[in-house]
Amino acid sequence: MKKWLTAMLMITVLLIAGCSNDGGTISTENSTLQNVAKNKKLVIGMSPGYFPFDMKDPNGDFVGYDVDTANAIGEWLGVPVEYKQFTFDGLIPALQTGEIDMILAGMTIRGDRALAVSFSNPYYQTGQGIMVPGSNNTTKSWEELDVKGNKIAVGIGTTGALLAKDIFKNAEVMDFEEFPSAATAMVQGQADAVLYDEPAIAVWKLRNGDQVRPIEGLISSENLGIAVKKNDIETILWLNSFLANYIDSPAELASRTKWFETGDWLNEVVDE
Amino acid sequence: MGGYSYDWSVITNNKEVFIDGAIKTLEISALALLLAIPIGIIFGLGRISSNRIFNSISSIYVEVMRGVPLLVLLFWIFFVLGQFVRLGPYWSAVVGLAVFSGAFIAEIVRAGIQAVPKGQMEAARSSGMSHFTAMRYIVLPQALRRVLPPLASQFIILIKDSSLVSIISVIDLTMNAKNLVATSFRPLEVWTFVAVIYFVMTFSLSLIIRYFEKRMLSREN
Repeated sequence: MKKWLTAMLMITVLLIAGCSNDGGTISTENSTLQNVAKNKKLVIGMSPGYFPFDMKDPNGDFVGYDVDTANAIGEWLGVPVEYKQFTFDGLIPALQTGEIDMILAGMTIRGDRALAVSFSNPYYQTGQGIMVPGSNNTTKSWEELDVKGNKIAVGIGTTGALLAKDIFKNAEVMDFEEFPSAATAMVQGQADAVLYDEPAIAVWKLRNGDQVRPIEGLISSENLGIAVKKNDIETILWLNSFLANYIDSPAELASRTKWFETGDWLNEVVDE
Repeated sequence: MGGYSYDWSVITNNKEVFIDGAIKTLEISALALLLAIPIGIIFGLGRISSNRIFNSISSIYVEVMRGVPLLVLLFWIFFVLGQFVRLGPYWSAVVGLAVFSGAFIAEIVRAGIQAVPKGQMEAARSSGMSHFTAMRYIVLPQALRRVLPPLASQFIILIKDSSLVSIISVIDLTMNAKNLVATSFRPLEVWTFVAVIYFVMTFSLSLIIRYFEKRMLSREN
C-alpha cells in the first residue's frame, strides 16, 4: 500500500513538473494535425461580428471569408469543420486550453500574441482604419481626433484597441465587447470615432450609408494569420503549404470577390 | 493537464490593474446599493400598499426587473434609453444595477413586513398609535431583523453582478482583467486571481453584516 502511494505521488510530481516547463521548447505533445486525424474533425474558434470575415447567417451558420478558408482546410484534411464561438479576447485562452484546434478569426499576427500561440504565414493583408459619424464632415486624420473629451470606441482585446491606447494621448479610449456595439455607440453620439480593421469599417459603411464616414487611409498595416497552439511546427508547416496553394486559387479568388468586392451577401447575414 | 503552463508573475507585475479595478467595482457597487435601498423600501411598501395605483406600479416594476437579465438591462439603458437620456457608461451602470437590485430588495422588504404577525399592528393601533407610528416603531424594527440575512445575500449578489458592467465599456475589475488577458495571454492566472478578489470583497461584506446582526440580537435580549 505504501509503495503504491509513493508511486502515485512520484507520478503526480513528474506530471506537474512536466506540465509547468514547456515554455520555450518545441512541443513533443501530439500536434494539432494528429489530434484532428484522431478526433475526425477540425474545431475552429471564431468571433462572429467581424465583417466580412466572420459572420453568421439567419440559420445560425458561420459564413464569411474566414469560413471559406476554414472549409478549404477541412476539405484538404478530409475532416468536417466544427465552429465554436467566443468573444475575440476569449479566442487565445480557448486555444491554449485545448477547446479549439485553430483560430481563424481575422487575427492579426503580433509579436506579443506569438508568445502565447504560433501563427501561419499571413493569409490576408489589411490595416486599421477610423470612421466618424456622418454628421462630422471636417475631420481628416486621427490626429485631429486626439483632443481631450473625445471618446474613441474600440473592440476589447483587438489590435485596434491596443493601437488606440498607444496613439491617443488626450482622447479617451472606450472598450466594447465587439465592433457592432462600438459602432452603435458612435452612431448614437456616445463616442466620437471608432478605430477598427478597415474591411469591417468598409462593410459598416456599406450597410449604414450616411450615418458614418470612414476617414481615408490606413493607420497601420497588418497581416492576418491562422493561430495554432504554441510551437506546433508540424501544423504550421502544413498550414503554410496549404496557404501557398489556396491563396489566388480559383476557390479563393471567388471567395475574395464575393466578400470584399460585392455587397450582395449583406442581406444573407445577421449581426452577431 | 493540457498544455498550459502557469506563470503567476502576471499578477505581481500588474498589481495596480487589480487594485484600480477592485476600487472601481466597490465604488460602483456602493453607489448602486445606496440608490437600491431606498428604491427597494419604497416599492416594497408599494407592494403591500392599499393604494391601488402605487401597488400596481410597484408590482409591474418588480416583475419587469425580475424578468429581464441584468446584461440585457444594462445594454438597454446604455443604448436604447441612451438615445433619449444620456447617462454615459458609468451612470448607466450604477442606475442599471440599482434598479435591478431594487426590485429584489423590494421583495425582501415586502416579505419581511408581511412576516410580522398582523396582531402587532392591530395591538399598536388599538393602543392609540397612528398607522405610520405603528409601522415606524412596532412593525419595521421587527421586520428589519428578519430581512437582514436575505438582504446580505442581495448585497453580495450586487457586487458580483457588477462584473457585467464591462459590456457597456465601464472600467471595473472584470474589464481590467479582460484587458490584461488580452495583452498578457495569461487567462487562467488572471481569472483565478480575480475570483479571489471578488471572494474577499463579498466575504468581508458578509462578516460586516453578520456583526451587525449579532449586535442587533444582543440589544434585543
